[in-house]
Parts: sequence; C-alpha cells; structure tokens
Amino acid sequence: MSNKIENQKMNEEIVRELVRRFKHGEEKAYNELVNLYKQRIFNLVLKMVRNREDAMDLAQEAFVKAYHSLKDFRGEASFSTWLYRIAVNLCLNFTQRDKFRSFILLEEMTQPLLSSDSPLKDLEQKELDKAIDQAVLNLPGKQRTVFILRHYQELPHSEIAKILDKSEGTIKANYFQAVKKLRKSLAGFIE
Amino acid sequence: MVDYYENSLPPEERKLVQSHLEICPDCQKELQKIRSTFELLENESAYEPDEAYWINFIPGVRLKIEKGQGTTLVPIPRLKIAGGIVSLALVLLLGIFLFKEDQRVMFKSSQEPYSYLLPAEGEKIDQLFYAEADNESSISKLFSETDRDKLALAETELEKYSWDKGGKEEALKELDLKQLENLKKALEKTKFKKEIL
Repeated sequence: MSNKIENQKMNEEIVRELVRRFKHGEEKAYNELVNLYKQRIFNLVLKMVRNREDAMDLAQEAFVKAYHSLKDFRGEASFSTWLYRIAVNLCLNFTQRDKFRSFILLEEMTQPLLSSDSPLKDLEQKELDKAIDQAVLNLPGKQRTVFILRHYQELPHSEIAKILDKSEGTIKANYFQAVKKLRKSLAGFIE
Repeated sequence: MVDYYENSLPPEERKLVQSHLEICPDCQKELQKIRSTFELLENESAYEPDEAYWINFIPGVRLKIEKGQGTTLVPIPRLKIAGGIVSLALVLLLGIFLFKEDQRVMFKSSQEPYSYLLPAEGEKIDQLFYAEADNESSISKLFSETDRDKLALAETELEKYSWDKGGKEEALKELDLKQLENLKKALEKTKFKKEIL
C-alpha cells in the first residue's frame, strides 16, 4: 500500500471521528473540520466564481451550510465528497443568479499587478488571467464544475462522479468538452 | 486524448493511443492543441488570501452560524418568494381590472359603440378624431374611418397624457406625432384584444 493511500485512509478516519464528535455535541470538532478543508474549499470556490471577494464570502458560507446540514449527514458518501457537493451547488446557484454581475466585476476587477520589472509582461499576464476567467465562466455549469474539480482540484474522475452524482463516462465527456471549449476561447493566446 | 495527455489512461490503452499517434498526423495535431491549452492554463496567476483572512476564517464562520443567517444567498430566495407573492397579487388585480374593462367593451359595443366611455364628451372626441380629416391634420393622417372602432382605448391612452389639463379635446390637440403614433399602436392592441375575446 503506497504512502499516499495510507495517508488518505488515515485522514478519512480522522474526519469520520470529527464528524462523530460533532454529532455528539462537541462544537469544537467542527472547527477542526473547517480547518482541514478551508483551503481546498476556498480554492474551489475561487475557481468557480472567479472573484476574490465573493470567493472569500462563499467559502465561509459553504461551511455554514454544511454546519446546518451535518446533523443529517448519514455518511453514505465521504465527508469531503459531501462538502464539495455543497460548495459546488452554492457556487452554481451564485453564478447562475449573479452571472451578469460576475461579468461586470470581471471587467472592473482591479487585480494588483505583479511586481515584476516588466510592466508589459504584467499587463500581458493580467490580460491572460482575465481571458481565462472569462473562458471558464463561459463554460456551461456542469462542464465548468467538472473542469475545475479535475484540473485545479486534481480529483479523479471517479470522485467527481460521486460529487456530481453522474457516471464516470459523463464526467469524462464533460471534461473533454470543457477543454475543447477553453481551447477555442483562448485560441488568441495559443500560438 | 485528454486522458492520454494527463497520463491517466490504463497502460494498455495508453500504448494503443501511443501507437496510433505515431502514424496519425491529425491526432498529433489534436494532442498538440490540448498540450498548448493546458500549458497556457498553467500560466494563470495564483491567488492566496492574506493571513488575516485565514485567521478570521473560523470566527467568521462561527459568527454567521450564530447570527443564524446561514448565507447571504438565503435572503434572496425569501425575497424571491415575497416578490412572487406580490407579483401574483398584482397580476390578479390587473386581471380583474382588465377583465372588467373588456367585458364592458364587449357588452356595450353591441349596442352603442364606445360612446359609453365618453358619457359627456364622447361625441366631441369622436368629432375631433374624424371631423378634421379634411384639414390634413396629423390626426387625420393617422386615423382613418376604419379606426373608428378603436376609440375605447383612445380615451385610456389620452388619460395617460394630459386628459385633465384642458379636457379631452385639448389633450388630443396637445399630442405630438410620436404620441399619436403610440396611441395608434395601442389602438391596434385593443382591436386584437377584442377579437380574441
């Protein structure tokens, strides 16, 4: 058994124990769960909504939602699968509802320029970031989610299938379509 | 092909794809495109919130839990529901209002077309609409004799403008060409509404 799998099993055991303790009334256990997943959930949310301010807020909200639902969590899926599902749905609802605003924010978003010696390079980088943001936001919800879970979160297709409650084949097809669309949207940057 | 690029194919499948790639220029091109796309995506800037955000993360979550707000998204569905109820009530009221008005048109139109809408000045308005046909006024250019059956909405439309200013005749005179055109469009709608009723 490789170290990676061993570590994963150990982590799952720790998480199960924390969930059990929380369900038995130990509030502090939830803080530990948040600590374990906050970084991953923030990164997921940021890639989904593509706006820093919104991501900071939504990442916390995902944990608030999870807190209120955890009592009903039966452990059929792993805690991380369940938590990812909550965060993904939150983001999809948010971007669906706020699509227009997201695009405006993208236009107005003033990301600090990188402090390199070349302003031209900084500008190019900013343009590229904006193009990627727009290309990803333009993907249909499912394709965007699959792409983000796979590319940025580096989750296996099987895990994504569990999060989205779809077959692995569907996930693979969505991923391929997403890459194809991104390639088309970003053609101007690809030599 | 994406799986091949990501090295996530089982060894046997990977071998098959590899052998195919060696002899297929189209697939080589496709693979190159996929590679370029992923290489480009690798150049995206990373963002990491400052330390203060992480320090305040759990307290922030706790505060939201204690406030019982759930999420900032929660009030939106509530607003939506409230908005929906208000909209429904408005639609119902509007429906009742329109239904009543249209019934009135139907009932009266069979006997004394439209003059009921203008109990005191109906005739005058009628005259104003058509008597000036010979004078080449803007009104007579817009309304022909066949438009006569649309007078019901004419009044409604006129009320929107300045009905009370100086009586109906004056109000009609005050309309500019654009307003008259709008009036005519509204009259067309009335005709349609009448027909479907």
